[in-house]
Amino acid sequence: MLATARGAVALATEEERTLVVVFLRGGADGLALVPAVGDDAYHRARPRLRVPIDGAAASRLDDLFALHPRLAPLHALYASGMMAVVHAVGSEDTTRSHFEAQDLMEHGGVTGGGWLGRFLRFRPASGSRALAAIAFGTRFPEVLRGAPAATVLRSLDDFSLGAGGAALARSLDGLYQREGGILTAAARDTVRALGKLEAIRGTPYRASGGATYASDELSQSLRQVAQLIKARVGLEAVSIDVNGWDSHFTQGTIIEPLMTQVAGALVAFHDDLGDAMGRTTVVVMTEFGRRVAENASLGTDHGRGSVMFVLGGGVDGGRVLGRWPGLGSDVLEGPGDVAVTTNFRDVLVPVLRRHGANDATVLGRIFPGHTVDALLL
Amino acid sequence: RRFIADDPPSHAVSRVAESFRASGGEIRSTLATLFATPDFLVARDTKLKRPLHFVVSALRASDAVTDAGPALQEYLTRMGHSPFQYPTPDGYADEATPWTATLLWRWNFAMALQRNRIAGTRVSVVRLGERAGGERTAAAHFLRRAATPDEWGAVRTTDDKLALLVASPAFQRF
Repeated sequence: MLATARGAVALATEEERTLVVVFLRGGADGLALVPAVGDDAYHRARPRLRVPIDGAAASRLDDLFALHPRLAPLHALYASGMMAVVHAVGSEDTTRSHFEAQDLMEHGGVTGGGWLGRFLRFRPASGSRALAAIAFGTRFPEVLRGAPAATVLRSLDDFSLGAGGAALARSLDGLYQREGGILTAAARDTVRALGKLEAIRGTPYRASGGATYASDELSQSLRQVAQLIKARVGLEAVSIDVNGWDSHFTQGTIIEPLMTQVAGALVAFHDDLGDAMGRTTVVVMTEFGRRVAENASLGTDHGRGSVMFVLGGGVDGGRVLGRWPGLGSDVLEGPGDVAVTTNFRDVLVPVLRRHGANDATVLGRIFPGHTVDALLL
Repeated sequence: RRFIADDPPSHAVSRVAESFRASGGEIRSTLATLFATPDFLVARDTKLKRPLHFVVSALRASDAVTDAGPALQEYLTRMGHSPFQYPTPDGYADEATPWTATLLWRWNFAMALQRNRIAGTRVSVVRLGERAGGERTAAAHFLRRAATPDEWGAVRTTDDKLALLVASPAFQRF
């Protein structure tokens, strides 16, 4: 928020950082996205669904892990240190219910609002402007509840005042400038944002860096996010859902096309942003992973630990983080799931710090009741 | 702070605080003291309307018919002021600064109201003008005073008169 007219000036010069949260809804199988190809127990548990060692040769992350071949386009980002992978990560929710696990992960605990909303509201110098937070999808995501300003976006046209809007804004700007009160700087900021959005709409978008966005929703959402980031409209937080990861039956046919989308969209976004990626972070997360053993329907059932990807400027990537609990029958959790050894908040904390929430009190308000044991990301 | 200004004069604060102490924290006599201060009586347009106040006052002033449905509520979400959604018990901020970023959506709302683009909410600009007995009085109805020359100039030269008045600086205050 603009603290004062003086604050508004500080904001305009301050580096704008954008945090993009991609939520894979339905419980994405961490062992499919990032198989432990170096562990014999993995191959024994997944005789039909497994990625064979030679099939993952091109996308090996380390001695133990590889990216699924469908995610291989991400390997270059990993190798360049731009992307980190966290394995055996999840929440403390053991219900294995999509609804409850998503709810807890988006709220970040038993408290009001979502963690992203609280981040925007409580971080120091919170500079939330009209376009500070955007959700793509059809409904308002829980993670953004409580945000100072948030929009569920269908298209960039949602921001427009419509025909005659430019003349109205000019007229209003005149009145606000003469008023000379607290709203004067805000009016300037608003007129500037409207002008930038008008410019975005007025010209067909050309991605940079040879990036090509596919036609799926994730790719198109990220394309619009890239437009807004480049236009520096003050976008701070984005929430994007990718549905359909609940792969009880014929898992490959369900999640392989989705993996192709995720990899393609993230690579395009990265290439398109170029230097602006340095002030952007993308977090990919899911409510839980899946059973280690495949089921009789060529699928997997609800489990516990899964993976998270963190991609962006300042990320100390090229590593698979988190303590790997192993897949031996003695270390599996509950009915046979990857144990959760890293709490999802401890992946988010270093990211939120980089985005301005670098104070223990603020982090305490974002994740109440959580003792931070942040990953060294 | 709620009744006089974000930054009320200290003599008014001490008078009300004194009354609060003397009455052992009784709300009724404390408020009576507050309402009797000269500062309260002259306080006008010192406060910024919060989004809910802004939306409701715009609907009332324009004699809108509304179902208060999802399309209308979405504007409150966009302005970060959905009822019952504040994360902590201290509630939405009362002072102006946290709300100055909502101007874009206030203007957007004003335009949508004028053009009848909010599903479930309807206004009749023509009828509004007729009932006010002319544009000048209609403008005064929204501004709660005669329009300044600047305001009148802006109203006169736009087709979106309702939008301009609802989005104007004066309409954001109370």
